[in-house]
Amino acid sequence: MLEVEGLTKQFSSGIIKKRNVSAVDCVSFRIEKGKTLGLVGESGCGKTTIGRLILRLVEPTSGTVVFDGIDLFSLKRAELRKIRPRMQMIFQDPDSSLNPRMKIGTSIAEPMKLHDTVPKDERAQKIMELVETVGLNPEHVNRYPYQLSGGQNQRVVLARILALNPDLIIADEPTSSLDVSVQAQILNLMRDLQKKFNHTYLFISHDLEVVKIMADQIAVMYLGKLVEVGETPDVYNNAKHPYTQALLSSRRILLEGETPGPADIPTGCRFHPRCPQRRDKCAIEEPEPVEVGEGHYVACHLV
Amino acid sequence: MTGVTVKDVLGSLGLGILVILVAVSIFAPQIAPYDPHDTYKPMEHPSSEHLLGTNDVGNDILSEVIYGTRVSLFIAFTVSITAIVIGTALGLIAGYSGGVLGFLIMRIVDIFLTIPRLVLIIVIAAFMPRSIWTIIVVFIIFGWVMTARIVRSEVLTLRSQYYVESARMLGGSDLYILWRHILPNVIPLVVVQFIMEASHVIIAEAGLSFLGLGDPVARSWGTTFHYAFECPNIITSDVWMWWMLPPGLCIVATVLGFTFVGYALEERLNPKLKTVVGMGV
Amino acid sequence: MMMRISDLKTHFPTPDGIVRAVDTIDLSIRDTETFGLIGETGCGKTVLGLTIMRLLHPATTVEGEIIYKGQNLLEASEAEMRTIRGREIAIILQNPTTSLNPVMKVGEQIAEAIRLHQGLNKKDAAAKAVEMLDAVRIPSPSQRANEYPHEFSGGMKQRVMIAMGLACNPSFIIADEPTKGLDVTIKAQIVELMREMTERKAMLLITHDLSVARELCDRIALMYAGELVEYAPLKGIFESPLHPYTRGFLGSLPERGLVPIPGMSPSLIDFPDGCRFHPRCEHATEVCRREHPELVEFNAGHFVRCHHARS
Repeated sequence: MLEVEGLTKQFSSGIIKKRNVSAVDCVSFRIEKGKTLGLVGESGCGKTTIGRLILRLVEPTSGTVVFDGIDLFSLKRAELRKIRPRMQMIFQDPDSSLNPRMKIGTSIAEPMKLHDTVPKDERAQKIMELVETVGLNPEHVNRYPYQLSGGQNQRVVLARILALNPDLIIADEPTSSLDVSVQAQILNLMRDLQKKFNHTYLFISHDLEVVKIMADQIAVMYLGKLVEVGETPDVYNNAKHPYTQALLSSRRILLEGETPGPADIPTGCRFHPRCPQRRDKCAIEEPEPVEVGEGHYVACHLV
Repeated sequence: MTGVTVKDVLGSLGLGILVILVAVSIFAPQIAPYDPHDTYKPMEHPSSEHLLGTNDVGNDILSEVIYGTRVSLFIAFTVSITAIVIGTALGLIAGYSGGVLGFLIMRIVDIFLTIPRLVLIIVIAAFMPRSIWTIIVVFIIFGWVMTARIVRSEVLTLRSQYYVESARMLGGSDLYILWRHILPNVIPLVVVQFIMEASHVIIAEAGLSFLGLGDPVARSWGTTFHYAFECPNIITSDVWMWWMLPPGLCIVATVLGFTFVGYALEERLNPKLKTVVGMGV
Repeated sequence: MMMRISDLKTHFPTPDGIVRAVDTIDLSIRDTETFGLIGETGCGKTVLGLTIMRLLHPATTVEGEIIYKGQNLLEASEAEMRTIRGREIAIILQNPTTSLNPVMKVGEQIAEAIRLHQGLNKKDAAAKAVEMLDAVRIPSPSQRANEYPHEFSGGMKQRVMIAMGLACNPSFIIADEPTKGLDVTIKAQIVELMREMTERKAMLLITHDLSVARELCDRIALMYAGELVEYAPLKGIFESPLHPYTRGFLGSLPERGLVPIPGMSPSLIDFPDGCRFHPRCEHATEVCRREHPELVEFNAGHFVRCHHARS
């Protein structure tokens, strides 16, 4: 369904001495139809940029993204606009994902109007259908986003997306601003919708526990690079990369220091200054991904 | 919690003043006792015939002030509406498209902002034919600048809001996004900007006319003021009380009316400014 | 006993009605324990911390008692409160980005608190500030003390906040979401640091994050709609939760299966009649709709507010 190959995004920074800073460096993965890939990493690792690159909200430096057989990066603007409804994104802040001056019903109707997918006289009924699908009340339709809670607004966002019947949904930390009990509601809803409509998800999160439940596959990212990719149970139960091990909070591994910015990426393995198991080699040579199990890749000198 | 605040009271007061002034200017021919250009005995003191007396050439002052409302408000509204529309359009373009066009617009804005506005207006008006159209055009040239700047910076913020991005994800065109998602969210700012511009124009126009650069035929309040001031002994005798004070009070009332309405609207239109009572920290 | 809060109510007026942010809370915190106050957005937990510090808007009405070392803080004068704040009771706020003055050097901000309370001269206070930065393990502290907040990462700023809170060696600490917005690996570091720094102090830890509470707390209370619904030693909450809300909260954690609690928290303006949780509770019966349950001791030290508490 979605194949990402060698995706790279460099930003130039500095005024006098121009320098290229890679936010995303040669990232490759694939997601099968109806499956979920969980992309895990900490803030600033480039995981959000990947989502935006795939949807071409940001233009890539190099690499390819093939969606349902279509090379997205070769599309012209008009062609892109035609294909966009098939790929949708959920943002982390539901309250600012909706136009504050539009009633909920209008927001949900917007995609139908734009693409004329539903005839005018059937729209009201379709809106009610969607509202029910995502677990809102019919009375919510006439309210404004500020009158709803964060969780309810995220349901509105889902209803709006469903109106387009997309194939791929990129969810960028969809519950990071919500309380745990509401987070559970939204994540469950997303799983139910996926089963019902056979959506393909790219689920971006900083929380490995959440990803474990949502995803079929996990990709762990550190400073613009994937460090470990594999089926969820393999990564979760048999994590090979020291960074993945540290992210699994139950293991209680304390890492030293903090993630450096993308402007000063360490030599060799990017993770080595913080790695509790580093060796001399790690500072010099960048590790290549090695297959340690079926479909389980790790970029670390220790494996 | 009564729900009525000082803001609401001032806002209604301001609105009341503006409604009265607009009504006066619309119905000037019905309200005014005389044609302002008709001449009677000059320099009459107030009497039942001429409530505010007559001026040095014998025009009825009350009628002149009433017709002056028409001129002053016409200039204020024409200038501010046009300037705001131009400013909003350019601000939207500059903020949304960025690029060379946006860059050019903003540099022009910067140049305008470095020019002392009133001084240049005086200079230009002095070399142009004395007519209200001169004044309107000159004010418009300088009036759009602030609006463009404010709208642009708001658009820059709005552009990065998730709902604008998701509208793009839905396949909305740029024009659609501007019209449906960005414009409605800058309207509150624009309305406040319009009110500020209008009250600014009232004062600036009065100043310009006071300096004798106004239209000698279509007399605004400022023009009336100007002729009164040119009259010898205006201050030492009582004449200023019926010749200068009424147009002056009208100017003050109009500016206050606009200010109060703007003050009341600013919060109502912008939910972000709504003050929350309760937490002090 | 370090602090005893009884019958505490904090209400404040808003255009929509009276917000009953804290609506009857009783609890006591022992000398060296860390007491976790867990709750979701809008349950009133932050307001409790601010009430203790007396940092509320003048329009707020506060009833009840907060006895700290024998003194009722609610009756203390503003001058007395100023000597208590920072010196006796310190608050470590969430969101260090807005809690630090962006135009003041980090070292000076810490030194300011020290000079205010300990009467040290400028030089000694500055030295003490560097010492504090070292204590929270900020590398090259004397150099970092001369930098501005924007030169610090989120985790480092949080360390600065801790250093500031602890600078005057207070005996009671209120920590409000000290790990909010931090990355997983940084959060682990801060939790570790907090554990060390507050070992022999009393602390009220306000958070929505059970994993943090689990690492740091001796006892835990769950707050729902302005009141405590359950409190017990750490083990009691995690191993034998009694209140349906506590169970639901635990069950909705991703590692426990992500089973949501239906519905949403009530607004603090308008509570449901009877038990405040009953509209979301699967065990609710007639009595729950009618009668507001009292907080009762179910086991030794394990209190719960539920008509149907069972183990």
